[in-house]
Amino acid sequence: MGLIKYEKRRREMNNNNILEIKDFSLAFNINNRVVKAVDEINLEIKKGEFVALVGESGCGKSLSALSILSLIPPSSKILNGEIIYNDKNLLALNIKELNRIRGNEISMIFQEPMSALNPLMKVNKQIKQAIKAHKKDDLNSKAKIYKMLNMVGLDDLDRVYNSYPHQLSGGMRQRVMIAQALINNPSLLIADEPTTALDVSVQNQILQVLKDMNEKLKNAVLFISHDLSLVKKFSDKIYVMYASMMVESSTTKDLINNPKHPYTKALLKSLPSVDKKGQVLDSITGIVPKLEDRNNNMCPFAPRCEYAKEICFNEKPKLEKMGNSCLRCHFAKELNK
Amino acid sequence: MKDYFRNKNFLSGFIFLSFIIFIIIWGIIKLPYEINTIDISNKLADISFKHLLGTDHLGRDILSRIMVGTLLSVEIGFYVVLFGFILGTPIGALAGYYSKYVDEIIKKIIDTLMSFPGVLIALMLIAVFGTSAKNIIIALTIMSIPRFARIARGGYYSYRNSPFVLATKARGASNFRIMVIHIFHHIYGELIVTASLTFATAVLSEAGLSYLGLGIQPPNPSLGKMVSEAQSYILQKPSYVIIPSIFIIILVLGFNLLGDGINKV
Repeated sequence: MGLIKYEKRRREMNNNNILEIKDFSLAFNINNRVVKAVDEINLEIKKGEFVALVGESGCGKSLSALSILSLIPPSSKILNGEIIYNDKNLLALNIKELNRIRGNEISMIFQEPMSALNPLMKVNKQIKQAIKAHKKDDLNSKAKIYKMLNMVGLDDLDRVYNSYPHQLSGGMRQRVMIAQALINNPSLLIADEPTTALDVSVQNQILQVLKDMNEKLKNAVLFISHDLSLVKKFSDKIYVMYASMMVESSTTKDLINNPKHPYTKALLKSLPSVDKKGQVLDSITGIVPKLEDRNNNMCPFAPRCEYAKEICFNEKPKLEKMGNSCLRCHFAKELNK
Repeated sequence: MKDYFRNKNFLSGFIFLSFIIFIIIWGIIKLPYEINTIDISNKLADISFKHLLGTDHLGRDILSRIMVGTLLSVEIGFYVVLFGFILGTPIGALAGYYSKYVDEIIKKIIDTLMSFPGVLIALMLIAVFGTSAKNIIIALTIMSIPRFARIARGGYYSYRNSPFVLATKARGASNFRIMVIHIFHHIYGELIVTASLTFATAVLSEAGLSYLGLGIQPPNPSLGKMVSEAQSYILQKPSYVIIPSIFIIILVLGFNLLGDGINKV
């Protein structure tokens, strides 16, 4: 039985996909009510692809990323779905198998480079531990680390190598994080808003480093951000999340030029640009519903949507495929004739 | 290290303890007199070159007895801290690092132990198992375990969800490794302070138990026992009771100041 299932899954899966999230839901128990923080999301990442996951704060994008490595908070509960990495369901692995994958095949960088590095440990030791944790050769680790630090755009390597994190600037620390994440040559790098805590000029540099590494080392990147204008320059594919739900996904070109979901449309309309100089910026009225107020049996965007009809408040939209994109909207066809 | 010596608390604690260590080492190298040699004709002698701190009511040399007694106190304190640390820290670490049930259970046990007066537990144990240095160490260790466990729990609890721990997990480190290396690195300072203060408490408790006659049994010398023997002669020869008391004070104060100093720096 297991073998048949496995074969079936293989056939189903496009072999280029290294990661596939299928109908994944994650819930919290708030006031004795089950509240879905991630609601049936689907996501595919191909080998070497640069994928962006965009959404407002609190829409569940970080949680989705953390679930890939099973680093979800203990108070949350996985309701259903699979996360398949190289034919393995990551959710079914035990802690030992997970530790073999974490930092080795899938690694992750975090939002705050200030606090994501152990403040009491020198840079070289932290990176060495990443190597050692996966029992890679220890002999030429120094050369390897130097090479990696150089690749992520750091100079003055001797100083960085022997520094404590507090002796480095924010951008340098984030580069160290990237170096540490990539040292074992993972096939997937998850970047959870790596540029949020940095200023704008450093932001671009870090993104450029990620893009360069993506091209040089052929590792896929899942880039999580709330800034659509930032990711559209770099990514191959964009997933848009809104209030726990994946509302639209498409190739970057399609999504930017031809958004199909009302939320994506509104989001793109509200981006500032040079052509709109002097005009009042468009904004989406209303706010994102709070986690405990979310109702999973309706379209989460309905209260703010200008096209919303009665059905939007009563029924959860199904995932529909239109050309390159997948979206969840009751009026997908009507709106995009 | 320079920072430590610039701190007045640490410096005075260090000086006090250096004096204690000097006394102990002197005693180990050469005791001025045999500690249990009774010389009634020379009892309650004053301070002189022959007997640097005088003699007690049986004519025994007080300095020699203090040397051995101090060593004993320090030994007991050391074992209490050592066992308290070895047993208490992992318990606290488990409670702090793993949430919910483990934490609740261990927390309740610690609270129960801490709500007991320590001396009472010691009295109970000694009443059941009899007096010996070993039993005192066991009794005082039981008192010291919750102290270490509580400090360790707080430390592990506050670092458990910190971003760098999450990042370390994402790097593929096991929970064991995170507990033993990464978080321990951050909290061992607090544990050293606790150790220092526990040491002082242990010394004091031992002196208290010996004073009550439940600790070290005569004729072996112990600072607390010496005070209790000397109190009958307090009017005839005040220095007999004052001198062991001063040693207890120096020992306890030394460790307290040292702990404070480390804490501040």
